[in-house]
Order: sequence, then C-alpha cells, then structure tokens
Amino acid sequence: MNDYTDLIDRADSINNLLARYGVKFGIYKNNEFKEQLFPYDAIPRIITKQEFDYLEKGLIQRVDALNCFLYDVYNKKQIIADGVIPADFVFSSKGYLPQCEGIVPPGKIYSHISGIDLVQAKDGTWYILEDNLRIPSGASYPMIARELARRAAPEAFKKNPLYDNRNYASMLKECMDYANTGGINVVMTPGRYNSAFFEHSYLAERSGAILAMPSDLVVEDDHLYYKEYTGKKIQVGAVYRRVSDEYMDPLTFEPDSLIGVPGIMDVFRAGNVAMMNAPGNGVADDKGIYYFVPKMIKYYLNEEPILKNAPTYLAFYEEDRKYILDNMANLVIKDVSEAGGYGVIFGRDLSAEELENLKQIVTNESRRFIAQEVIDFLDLKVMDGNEEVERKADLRAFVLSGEKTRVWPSGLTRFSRNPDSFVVNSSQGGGFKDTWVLSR
Amino acid sequence: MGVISLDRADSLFWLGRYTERVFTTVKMFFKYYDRMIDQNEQAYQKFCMDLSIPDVYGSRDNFVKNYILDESNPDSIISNMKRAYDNALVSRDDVSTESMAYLELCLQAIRKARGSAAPLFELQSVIDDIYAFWGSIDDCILDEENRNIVKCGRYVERIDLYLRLGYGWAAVDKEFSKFSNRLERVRMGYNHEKVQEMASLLARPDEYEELRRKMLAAVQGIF
Repeated sequence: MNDYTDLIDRADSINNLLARYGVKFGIYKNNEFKEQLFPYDAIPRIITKQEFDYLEKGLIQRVDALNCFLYDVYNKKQIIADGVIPADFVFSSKGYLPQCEGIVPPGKIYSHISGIDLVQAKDGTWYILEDNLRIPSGASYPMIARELARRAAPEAFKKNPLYDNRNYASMLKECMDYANTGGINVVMTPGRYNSAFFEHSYLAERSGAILAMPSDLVVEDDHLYYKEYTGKKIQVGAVYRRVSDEYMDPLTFEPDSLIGVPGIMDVFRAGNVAMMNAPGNGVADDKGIYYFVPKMIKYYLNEEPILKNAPTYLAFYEEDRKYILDNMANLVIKDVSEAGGYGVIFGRDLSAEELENLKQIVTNESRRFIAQEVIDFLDLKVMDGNEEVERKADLRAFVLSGEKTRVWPSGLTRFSRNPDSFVVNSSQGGGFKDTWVLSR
Repeated sequence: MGVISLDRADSLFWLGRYTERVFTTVKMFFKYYDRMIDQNEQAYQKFCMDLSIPDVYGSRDNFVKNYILDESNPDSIISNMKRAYDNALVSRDDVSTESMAYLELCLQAIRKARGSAAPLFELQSVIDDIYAFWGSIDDCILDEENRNIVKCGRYVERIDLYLRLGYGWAAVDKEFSKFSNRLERVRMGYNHEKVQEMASLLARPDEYEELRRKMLAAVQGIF
C-alpha cells in the first residue's frame, strides 16, 4: 500500500507553490482571454511497474504503427490499396493534407510527441480513448507538480519507489536533437494568448530550446532561420511547433494566417528542417481513423494489438450505423471534427426529441460521427475540500519517438470535478493529478 | 552570446523598465503615503505631477486605492507590475521560471493590499520580492548580454524616475555610471549622442537643478 498522506497534508503548500510558479492555462470566455490555475489534486494516480510495462509495450506498438501509417498514407498508400482502410475514409478526413503528399521526414517519424488518452475500466482493463498526434499538450503540468510536491512533501517520495518524471524535457530534447537537420532547436508558439502558453515557454526553458514567435522565424534559400536582434540569421534545425497545421504556412495552408511562417513547408519538404510533429498527422488521429488502428498494427507490424480500443462503431458503415441508431441512448456519440472534450454527446443525457434530431444528423452526415460504448471508468480518489470523493479520470500517456520510441514514465491524469460528468478536459473545468509509475 | 530576436530583446528591456518602475514608485509611494497620514492629505497631487501622470483620483483615499490596484488605470502599480510580468512571460526561457516566480509573488502581494488598512505592510513584500528578483536574474539568466539588456532597462528607468522625482545629483550620477557600463556590453541600437549629452550634463554637478529637464530629455532620447 503506497503512503501519500504527506501529500494530502501538504496539498495547500503544493497549490501555493503552483500559484507562485504561475502554473496556469488560458481560456477564452465571451471573447475574453483569462488565465486560471489548473486545479491540482494531491492524491496521485498510481500505476504499478507491471502495469506500466504492459502499457509501455502497447503504447510503443501503437505509435510505431501510427508512424508507419502516416508514412504510407502520404506516400505509397499500400494500406488503402490492400483494402484495410477505405480510401474515402482517409481522403475525406479533415486531417488529411494533400500538401503533405510525398514528404518523408527524417527517420520517417511523423509523430515525435504522441499523447495517447486511455481510461481504465472498473475491471482493470485499459482502453485507448483517442490518439493525439498533432500538438498534444499537458506534460508540463505533472512535471512541475512533481518538482514542487517533492519540495513540499519529501517524505512521500522517500517512502515510495517511483520513476522520476522530471526527465520529460530531456526526453524531448533528445527527440529534437535526433530529428534536427542542422541548426538550433526552437519551440514555436503562436503567442502569449494561446491556452497552453505556459507549457510552450516552460518546455523551451527546460529543454534548452529557444522559444520562438512566428515573427522571429524567416525562410531564405530553402532554409529556416531565427532572426537575431542584430540582424544576424541563425539556422534552425528542428521546430517543436505548437501552432496548428492550418496556420503553419500561409503560402501552403490558410492564406490569412498571421501566426505562420511563409515558406516553412517548402523547407520541410526539402528536408532542411524537422517539424515536430509533422503537418498532416491529423489524418491518423482522426476519431474515425481511430477505429482502424488495431488493423494498422496487424498490417504494418504483423502483431496482435496489445492495447484495446474502446468498442467503437462507425456511422459510415451501414451495419454500424444501424446499431448506433438503435442504441443511441446507451452510447456516447463523438463528432470526429471536434477536440478538447467538445462534440461529445452522451445519448442518455438527451431528451426523446433531441435523440431523434441527432439520429437524423448522424444519418445525413455519417462520416462525421463515431459512437462508443460507455466505459464504466474506474473512479479515482480526489480530495474535495477535506473530503475524499471519487471522480472520473483519464490518463494521457506521452510517447516520444526519436532514435527509439519511448514512453514517459508518468502522464497527465485529468479528472472531472463534476461528480456527474465524464468530461475531464481542463477547458471544461477538469483538474489534474500526478501520475506515479512505481519502479518496483 | 545568446540567440535572441528583436522582440525578445525588446521584452527583456521592458521587463527591466517596468520592474524598476514598480520598485521606485512603490518606494516613493511609501514616502507620500506617510506624509498623507497626518501632514498633507493632498500630497499625492505633487506625486502625480512629478511623474507626469494624470491626477484622476480626487482624494487621498481614492489615490491610495486606485493608484495601487486599479487595473483599468494604466499608471497604477498593478498595471505596471502586470506589464513587467507579461514581458517576463514571453521570455521565460531566458528569464527562468525561478525568477518569474518573484514577479508572480509581487502581483499576489499587490492584490493582497486591496482593502488593507495598512497597504504599506503588504507592499513591503513587493520591495522584498523585487530585490529577490534581481538576485535571481543574476543567477538564472545565463547569457551575459541578455542580462545586460534587462539591466539597461532597469537603469534607464531608474534615471528617468530619479530625475522626475527630485533625487539629487549623486544618485543620478551613480545610476548613469551603472547604465553606461551595461550599455557598452550590449549590441542594441541606441543614440550615442544622447548618451554623450547626458554625460556632459552630469559633468556639471553645480548646475544639476537647472539641467534636470535637459537631462530627462537626453535620457528619453537614448532609445
């Protein structure tokens, strides 16, 4: 039995330290930007060594297969030719970017930083909820929380054999260095008013990369440069970009983007800079493509999937659509084009009229929706004032791909603060806790 | 030398300026507040005049409340502190999370002064934390040039405020010497003639009072 009572006793001190270090995230409400502290719960999620070994194998397998898929789908498209994934499904995905056709990044790695969301059911089974291969965020929070918790409650860490999770930035740096085509590493942020700006700036500081605004970067002679204030230009070899695909390059994507770097895609295409993650990854973390990931694992790696998907139905397939329409009241319906906990509808929460309306929409726009069985999550203990209560929680595991694919021995555990809600996203009021991975 | 962009250099410079603006104006606020307790309730009017900020307060009590805490007042202490913090925030990888924490503590202390019957007591923490911030900057900003840019901002602001607030020649001369020393060690563009002019004016200590306005104009023309 792990003893974390010191952490609970010192929870206020840890929260004061988190406030002192400005551990916040931004949120837009009524067109106004506000920063707020990310509520931290002192009770850690504990993952045994045996459990982590299993998760680690499954996550590495999954991310390796997803990287194979991205290489294939933007090059030979063999998985489509072999009938494993329908072509329509790939090419109608919002995340598929024809501008990325033929691009092969260094080491054929498209997703260097993958955020894989999992939940554990009450019977202990872990399920993958979704893959985030574009710009998954959240690693900085448990990383700094661990640092501060060790200051506030050292005894808890003396008593428990844990992997130290404060190595995330060095793992990130190793990935950047591996992908680097020659030049400095930068973390490219859209700016101060991005919801995850704390993370951008903190990871830059901790990984030794330069925090760059888009206006700091310029393309010349097919190379990317950081503009020094004296006018000197310094070559950039790797960009850990936290700007969405569509805004990255106004010459290739959204022409009105003010937060992109004109011409950066040409540099990437020429192999003169690494972009982490590669643009176009959205085709692989699409909620619809998620259904096919176990098939990808068998197809590319010739292995049985270690980790399970949540039971999922695609409205695109007639048989599945019929099931969804017949059972909608018991399913969770997800709009594949939404993220951040938006576009998630629990059938049980809808009135008869709302259910009928949704059935009509699902029928008319079948590619837009998936449905999943509601997994009875394992509730985690959370402190609510002085009282211990149970809340729904998920786990975002971070998988980093460089010379090797590695799983960060920690993760972001997010929990719902609302006892009746399954939605754990910070943008929707959720909190977070540290994730302890036991080392023995 | 480190790698910094024009915007970053600007942020570091203004981080220094705004942090110093809070520091010196809080210290001066202490003096005026003390005077307003039982000597001259309208003393704040001179404070506003010296700083060339509009007197929008109308009374001592309003001044004490709004000058410290009114976020909609661009001249308030909290507005200047927030600007300092914002400039640090976009420069975290240079400034360090450790140093920024002292600015966060300043903001917390200023907010704590809200409605306090003894606001100077809370504001004392602001002074303490800014001292700690400068110590932390010396330790945490590894690149010497970047550190010097922040210090250039700090000293140019201090000279500006000292000239406005009636500090004597010796204090201004001392700060100018520190400023010149830092300025030589950065590659920022600046007006050399104005620096020369300031040096020449300071070389006439007997005429300091008459030359103060000229000095202020010279300092304001350096960047």
